[in-house]
Amino acid sequence: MHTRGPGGAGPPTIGGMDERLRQRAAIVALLRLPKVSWPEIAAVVIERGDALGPLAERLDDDGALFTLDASPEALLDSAAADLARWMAEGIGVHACLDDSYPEQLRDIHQVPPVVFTRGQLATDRRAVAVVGTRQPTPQGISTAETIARHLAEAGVTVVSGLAAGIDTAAHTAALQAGGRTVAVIGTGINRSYPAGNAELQHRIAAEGLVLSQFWPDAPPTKTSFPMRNAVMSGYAAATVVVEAAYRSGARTQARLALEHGRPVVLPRQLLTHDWARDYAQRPGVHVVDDVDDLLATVEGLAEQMVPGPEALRGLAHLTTT
Amino acid sequence: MGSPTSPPPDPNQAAQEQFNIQRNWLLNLLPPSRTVCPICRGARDPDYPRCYACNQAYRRSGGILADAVAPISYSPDDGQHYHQLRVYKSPTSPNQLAHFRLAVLYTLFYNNHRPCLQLGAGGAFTHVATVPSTRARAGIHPLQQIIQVAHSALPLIAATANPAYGNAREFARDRFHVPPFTAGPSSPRVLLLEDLWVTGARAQSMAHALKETGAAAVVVVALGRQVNHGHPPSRPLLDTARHTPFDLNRCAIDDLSF
Repeated sequence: MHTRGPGGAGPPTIGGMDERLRQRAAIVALLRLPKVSWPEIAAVVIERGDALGPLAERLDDDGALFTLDASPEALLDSAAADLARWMAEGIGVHACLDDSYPEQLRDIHQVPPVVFTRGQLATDRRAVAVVGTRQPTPQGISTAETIARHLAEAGVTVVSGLAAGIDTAAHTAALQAGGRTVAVIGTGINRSYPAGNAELQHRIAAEGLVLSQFWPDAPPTKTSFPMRNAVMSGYAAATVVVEAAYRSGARTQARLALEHGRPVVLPRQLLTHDWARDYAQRPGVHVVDDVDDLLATVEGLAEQMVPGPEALRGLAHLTTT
Repeated sequence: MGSPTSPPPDPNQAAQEQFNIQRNWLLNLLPPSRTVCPICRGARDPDYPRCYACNQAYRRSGGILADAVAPISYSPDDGQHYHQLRVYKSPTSPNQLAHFRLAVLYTLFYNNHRPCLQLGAGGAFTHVATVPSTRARAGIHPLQQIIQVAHSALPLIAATANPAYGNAREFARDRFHVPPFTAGPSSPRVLLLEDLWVTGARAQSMAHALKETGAAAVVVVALGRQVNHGHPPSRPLLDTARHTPFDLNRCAIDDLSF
């Protein structure tokens, strides 16, 4: 597994900030401006390969300078101080232009401009999200554990959301099998929700990775969990839904994964739900009969995840002239 | 994943899969109507023959514009297609998945619609072009890579942008400079590929420059026709487009008569 260190560029030296730190600070400064859309900030910064230009333009555009009473340099210095404080707390901070940023998150339209992490970063190209209800049946728990254990034993990273129920079962089984697990959480990285999972969160940070798209001290809100599901879908090569009713975060994630072009895997027993039967008709949805079938399907899906330049050139023979 | 002995993935199958999955968000263009612009298929005021931007380009160009415009899909500005059309061309972090998906979409679209695109041009294409970027970048633009992969036998026109216009979204006759057609066929017919059609000002300015330089015909294919999802006149358009699953066999040019 290819691993990367925490994404720090050393402590900031205000005034003599290096280019990467200036870019990262500009992204934080953009997010601090009033009335900004976070995914729009991320998209424009990635599209341009630059955050300093968009920051200057935004300050020019809406006269934000006057209301904020701060120069671009002052905003950058303040953002750099935030970055230094977070890193001093042991938090990894990865902005969408950083090499350490999980690149698969740039695939999705809810791309987070910055992610905060505790634990060990890895490319996690072979990563599968295992999600489901917070009120599972014993059968659901057992299915989640079996899937997570088999994925972990096959060297696949088990991604989940650190919620009660299926998420907890999946993370725990992956850890017990000695595999890698990643928790994409719906609060800031300094918080735990539910509180009862604080210890599990700590263990995942020690043995795997905890990742959050929210400011480090952000509390959970009604919208933070579905936003987290979008990022979880983006982080993983595919999403497996284990037990989920019509109104559930897991079903939300299945919808988001399809919106992103990430495959969704549904165990056949889930087709007792109308929503699951409807989803089963859509492109990118795979219904599996058992764990062997699931593993085989997931292997194939992770394989096609990132087509390289040779794949692009390979299209030449498709054109009829 | 996979063991070292497993066969390499079949490129045709990978392409087909990456096309299929995009059907979750691709949206066919609506045919021209009282509320749909006959050129770009965006929303229009029924009191005018075209949408505001297409009308402006028409007046300023003296009618010397692309002969046909074929956007492949609507691209709502809160959706995945729109996102891909932005991140595939990042100069620092180009998104390979988006690039591959867009290349697949273009290639399969061209394969399916070559006869009608040629009908729009009055014959087989002799050249391909993209709209020159106003921002400097190192190396070949990812959109040029797409068009070169799909049309390796056709020369790519090396046009340049007039820096006076920056990123303005307005038609201008002298916005792009096209080098003269040399030693080629007497009636050059150009396939012009645009990634995201917002107002069409850039694509139509380029079509105009191509024709002024001697192109007999220009057909524009746009990978996406941007739609502002919060713009009230565009909402019914999106609602209607979302009623029907995406069908690659439907093409904007099919709806027009020549």
